[in-house]
Amino acid sequence: MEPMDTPSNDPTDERAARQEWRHAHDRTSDLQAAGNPTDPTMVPPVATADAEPAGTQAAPPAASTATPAAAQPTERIAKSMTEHPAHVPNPSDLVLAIRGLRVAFSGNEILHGVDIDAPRGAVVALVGPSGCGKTTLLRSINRLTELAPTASINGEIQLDGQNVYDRGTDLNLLRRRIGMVFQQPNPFPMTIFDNVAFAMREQAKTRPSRSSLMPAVQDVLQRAGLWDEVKDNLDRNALSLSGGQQQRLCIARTLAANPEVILMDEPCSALDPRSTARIEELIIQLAGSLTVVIVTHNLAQAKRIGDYAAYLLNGDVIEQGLARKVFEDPDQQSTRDFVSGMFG
Amino acid sequence: MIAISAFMLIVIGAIAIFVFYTGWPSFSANGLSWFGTGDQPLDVQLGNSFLGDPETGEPSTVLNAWPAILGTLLTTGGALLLSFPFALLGAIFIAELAPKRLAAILDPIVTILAATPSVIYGLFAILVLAPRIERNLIPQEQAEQLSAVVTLTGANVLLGILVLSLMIAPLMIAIFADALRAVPIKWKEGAIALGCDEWRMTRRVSLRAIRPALVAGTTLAMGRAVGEAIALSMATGSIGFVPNPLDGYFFFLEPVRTMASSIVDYSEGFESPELKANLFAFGVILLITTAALTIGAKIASRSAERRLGGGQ
Ligand SMILES: Nc1ncnc2c1ncn2[C@@H]1O[C@H](COP(=O)(O)OP(=O)(O)OP(=O)(O)O)[C@@H](O)[C@H]1O
Ligand SMILES: [Mg+2]
Repeated sequence: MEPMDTPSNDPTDERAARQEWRHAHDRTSDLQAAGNPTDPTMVPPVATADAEPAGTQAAPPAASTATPAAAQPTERIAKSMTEHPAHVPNPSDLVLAIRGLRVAFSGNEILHGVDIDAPRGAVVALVGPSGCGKTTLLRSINRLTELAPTASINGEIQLDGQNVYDRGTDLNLLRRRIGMVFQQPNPFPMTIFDNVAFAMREQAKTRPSRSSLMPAVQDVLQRAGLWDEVKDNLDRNALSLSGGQQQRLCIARTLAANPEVILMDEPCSALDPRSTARIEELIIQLAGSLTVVIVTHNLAQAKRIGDYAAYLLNGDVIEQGLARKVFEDPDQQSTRDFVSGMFG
Repeated sequence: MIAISAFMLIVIGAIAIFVFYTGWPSFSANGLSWFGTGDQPLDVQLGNSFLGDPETGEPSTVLNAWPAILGTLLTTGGALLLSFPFALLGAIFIAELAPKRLAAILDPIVTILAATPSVIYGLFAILVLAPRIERNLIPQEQAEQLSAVVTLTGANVLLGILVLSLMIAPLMIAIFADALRAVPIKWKEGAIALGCDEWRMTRRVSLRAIRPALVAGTTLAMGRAVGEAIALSMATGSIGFVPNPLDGYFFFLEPVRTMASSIVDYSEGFESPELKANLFAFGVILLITTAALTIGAKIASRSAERRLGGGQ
C-alpha cells in the first residue's frame, strides 16, 4: 500500500506534508504572478500586500494597488492574523469574500446575512449541523442556487473583488472559475477520457483532437491521483469506476476547467475511509495553487485539511477564523458545544 | 404471471404460424422473384391472383412484390428522416426549454396526437393536405407529360411521408421527452457547474444519456410506420407504382402502395386462395420486419446502455 493511501491521524503530519508540498510548488510566486501583477515577486505571504486592514503590520506603499477592489477581511479573520502561522495562506488576500448573503426559498429565509472569507490558496471548511444552510451557501457561490425558481438571493459575493451577482456576470465563465464537486460523485455517462475532456472541449472554439487533449487530460488525472489506475482504460465507462475513483474523476473533471476556486459539498460522505483519505490528501495538495471551500460533516476531517473554518448555525455564521482556533479554542459557547459534541 | 405470459406466447405463436402457413404458397410459387420487379404492374398481378390469369383463366399466384416493398421503404424511411429531427427538437423544447405551464399544456397534446387513430390522420391527409399538394406542387404541363405513365394527384409518396411523420413524431416526442426528464439532475447540474449553458448541457450530456431511449423510440416509430395500413392507403394514392428516380422532383409526387396498405386495399378478395396467399405473404414480411426491429432495438439499447452506462 502506498503511504498516500493511509490516512494519517496525526494532524501535525498533515500540516508538515502540506507545508513541504507548498514550498516545493513555490505557491508564493505563483500567486503573485496570478493575482498581484504590480507586486514584486518574492514577497513571502505573511508580509504580502494588503495586510493593512489588520493594523498589525506596516503596509508597503504598493499594497493598496495590489488587489484594488478586494474586500476587507471580516473583523474576526483580521484579528486572527496576529496568530497567523507562516504556512497558512494570507488572510488578507481574499479570493472570495461573501458579504451579507441572504438566501430565501419561497420567502423562507435560509441564510440570514452570511459573511465569509476565503483567503487565496486556503482550504476553508464549512461546518454546522444538518439543515443549517451549508449547501445553500456553497451553491450560491457559483450561482447554482438560482436554478431553483423559488430562490431569492441578496448580498454580495466577491470573486477577486468582483461581485458575482453583478448584472453583467458571464455565468458560464464564472462557473469555470469556480468549480464544484458534488456530494454524490456524478461523472457523466461517457468514457473517462470524455469526462475529463468535457470542460476543455466546452471551452475550445473548434473541436480539439483527442491527441491534442491527451497531455492536459493526463495532467489533471495525475493531479487528481487517478492516472495510474485508469491510464490503460481511458475509454472505459466512467460509471464503472468505484465511488472513490468516480469522485476523484469528478475532481479531475473540475480541475480541467482550470478553476481558481473549487467548492466541495461533503465530497467524501459517500465514500469509504480509504477513498476519503485519498481525497483529503488530494485537497491538501491542491490547496495553494487554488482555493478550496469544503462543506463537511466530519469535524476531524475539517480539522485535518482546513486552514480556515466557519461554523454555521441556522443560517448564521457563529464563528470563523483559523481552523485550529475554531476547533480547539473557539470564542463562542455554541461553537464549543458543537465541536465538543462532535469530538467528545 | 407465468400463466399469462405462456398464454400470450401461445397466442402470438399461433398467429405467426397461421400467417406463415397461409402466406407460404405465395413464396413457394414465386421463389426469390417474389422480391423482384415483375413484367406486370403490382396491381395487375394482385388482380390476376383474384380473377385468375386473363388468358388461360387458370389461378395465378404470380407476385413480384418489389413495388410494395419499395413503397414501404420509401414512406417509412422518408418519415423517419423527416420526423426524427423535429421530434428531437420538440422533445428538448417540451422537456427542457418550455416554461412549466406551457409544457403542462403541450404534454397531453402530444399524448393525444400519439394515440389518435391513424384513419383520422388519413382523412386529414386526403381532405386537407392532398388538394394543397395537388394545387401547389404539381405543375400541370409536366403532369400531362407523365400522364401516359402515371396520373399525378395530391396523394403520393410525399403525402405518405407527411402523414406518417405526423403520426410517428408525437410518439417519438413522448418517448424522448420522458427520457430527457428522467436524466438525473446530478448530471445536468454537473454540466452547468462546469460552465455549460442549458442548451449545451442538453446536447452534450442529456442527449448522450438518453441514447438508449432514442434508439428504442425510433424503432417503435419505425414499427408503427412499417405496419401502417389505413392512413397510407389513403395518402399514397395506393397505386402499385415504382417511382422513377429519373423523374427527379416528381419522384416524390408519384404514387406508391405499401405492403400493409396492399393488404387492406385487397382484403375484400380473400375468397380467392391465391390472392389470400399473396396478401398473407406481405403479412409474413411485415411480421418478420417488426419482430426484427423490436429485437434489434432491444439489443441496440442494451449495448448503448452498457457502453454509456445509462442503466447503472
Ligand atoms: N431548493 C430549495 N427549495 C426550498 N428549500 C430549500 C431548497 N434547498 C434547500 N432548502 C432548505 O434550506 C435549508 C438548508 O438546506 P441546506 O441543504 O443548505 O442545508 P445543509 O446545511 O447543507 O444540510 P446538510 O448538512 O443536511 O446537507 C433546509 O431547510 C432546506 O429544506
Ligand atoms: Mg448539504
